[in-house]
Amino acid sequence: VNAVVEGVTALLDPTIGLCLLIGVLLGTLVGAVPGITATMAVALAAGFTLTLEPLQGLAVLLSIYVAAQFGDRVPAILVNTPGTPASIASTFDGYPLAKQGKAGIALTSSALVSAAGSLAGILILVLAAQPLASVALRFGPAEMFALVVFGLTMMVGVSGSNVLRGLVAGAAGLLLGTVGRDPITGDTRFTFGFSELSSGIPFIAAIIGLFGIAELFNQLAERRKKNNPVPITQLGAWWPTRAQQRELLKPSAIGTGVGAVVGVVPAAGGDIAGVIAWAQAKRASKHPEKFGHGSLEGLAAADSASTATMGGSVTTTLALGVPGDSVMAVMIGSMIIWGLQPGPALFVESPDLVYSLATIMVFATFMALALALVRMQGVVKLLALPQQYLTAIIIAFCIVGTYAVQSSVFDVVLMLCFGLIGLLMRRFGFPAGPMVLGLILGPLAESNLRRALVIDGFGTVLTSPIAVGLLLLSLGAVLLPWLRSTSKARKLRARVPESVR
Amino acid sequence: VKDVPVLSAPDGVADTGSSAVTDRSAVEPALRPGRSNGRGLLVALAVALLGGTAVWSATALELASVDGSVGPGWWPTVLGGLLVAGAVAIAVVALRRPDPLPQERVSAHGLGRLGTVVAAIVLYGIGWQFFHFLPVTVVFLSVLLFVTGGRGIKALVVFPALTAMVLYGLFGLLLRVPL
Repeated sequence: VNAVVEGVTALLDPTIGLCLLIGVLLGTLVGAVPGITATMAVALAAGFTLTLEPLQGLAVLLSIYVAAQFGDRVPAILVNTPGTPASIASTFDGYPLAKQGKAGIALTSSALVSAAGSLAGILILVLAAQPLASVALRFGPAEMFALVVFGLTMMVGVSGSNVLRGLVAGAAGLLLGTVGRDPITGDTRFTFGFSELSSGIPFIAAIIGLFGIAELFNQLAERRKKNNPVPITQLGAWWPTRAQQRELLKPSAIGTGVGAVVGVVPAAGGDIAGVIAWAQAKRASKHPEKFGHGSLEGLAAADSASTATMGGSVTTTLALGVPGDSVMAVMIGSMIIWGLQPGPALFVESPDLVYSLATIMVFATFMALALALVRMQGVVKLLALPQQYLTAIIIAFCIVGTYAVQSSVFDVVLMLCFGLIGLLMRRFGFPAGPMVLGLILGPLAESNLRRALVIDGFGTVLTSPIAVGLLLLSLGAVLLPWLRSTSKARKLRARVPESVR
Repeated sequence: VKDVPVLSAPDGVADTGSSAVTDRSAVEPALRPGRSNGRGLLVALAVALLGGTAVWSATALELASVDGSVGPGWWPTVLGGLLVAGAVAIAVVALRRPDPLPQERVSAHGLGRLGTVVAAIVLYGIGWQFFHFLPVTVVFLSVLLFVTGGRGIKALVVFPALTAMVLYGLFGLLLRVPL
């Protein structure tokens, strides 16, 4: 109870309210603009929030995370373009509803079910984080190493079609994590004479380069067609009728349940949850034929699921130290710089923090909901903003934000290098997520594995049921997508007549 | 997942950090079928070089406190070895199946634009060391906007000046970053 009271009262500082407001506004904006995702926005914001107190900074980052999941529904519904990947499933029924003249109802319903999903996810955080951390506290070096491998392979498994390249990106990230002081002996490794690298590769420079600059460089290099989306501007009625409200209940419950489960799985985020929930709600619906053609049920399931993942993601991140999704991977980097190492020990050192974060998310949810209900026309206008203005602003923020962390030009140069590396990775099909995760979790993986090996060789890892279980799950995470695509290819081949082959 | 309607690849949504792949085009660079074994082999070569360099650098480390096989050089050596193994696997896959090409092609114009932006960033970094943040940033933003297609007083003067002032106000004055 003390931790709850301390966690909530820590937010009475009025500056936290200001940080929340800034975060919610920024989150809604970045969510509404296709091309800027929550991960990218949180990475950019990490640059300037590091100069704030940890709670203030976390208030900005978390409220961007929450509000982006409200803002991204606007282009999904009005332009058929998801503002962030989390709203992919919102387009399935949101855009058809908008075309039927029900854009206002779709936007309002989406905001309401998103808020419900978000609050349910936060409840998971409050209820499950502590017990999960208590279990994880019993983990020794072998289990911690296996946990890091599990997190990394989960991100590889869900982050792209090419698992092999994802694994290579993860290994390269772990290798980057070895730069700087050895976590056990303190010896300096791979610094190439740069004193700036003695404490490792700066996370923020790497994250901004790989997530922010690389995407912009890719857009600049590609031959893109002029594609100014024309949003549907006739919103129509905006509040759902009683019958429509009743229609939202069942799919929202399905979506929230799916989102809560998917959110706890490391690295799986709102995009996966949205599509799974949409399919489940269709199966459970009395009118499955309407799904994909403008069904409020489909929209409700998808949107409640993607926001419900947030609480689960934060739970996994705080309790296990393994990011629940890509935004959390960035957030872990910021927390480490603030001296807050996510993981079971956090619940011993700062038990009140989890309640502070949950309260921040509750406030951010209500503020984002309020903004979502009053802002519609204004955000629609945002969709017409020329791309070059956004590009210029983002590049400037990337540079100044990276510099601001340590007032170091070296960091800016490093960020530029990571931007170019990220560009090459994108062009050659390597996902950036596993590399960032490897960089962040590398020292944790190395120190725990080496400690485990010193205790009793590989036997320490292989005799721990938890470690073996996690490693088997990791193997499954890597093999499953490959097996699935192989069986799909085999089925396709079987369907093609012999004469055609 | 069955019965998911076909979704057109959203322009620019391709985010790096996304966790999912329900619509792959939305979360990673869209790939189109192509016949390029050389591409896959090139990737394998680059990964092998990285892994080989890691192994070589790790074994060449001069560390005072190494007292056994599980020293500071052990983990980078393992990772280097994994990268080399990954390179071999990529090469084998490339020989069996052509590497898919990215959906959007890089154009000469695009590369020129990218090169100009990178050069502008480098010059901005240098200029920042000698001149005040505000004028250098205004010029930098104007160049960025010009390169990306911005024209007119509003795009090339008013917007860069306002943005530079916001950046200076936020970082220089509010957060007290020595710009």
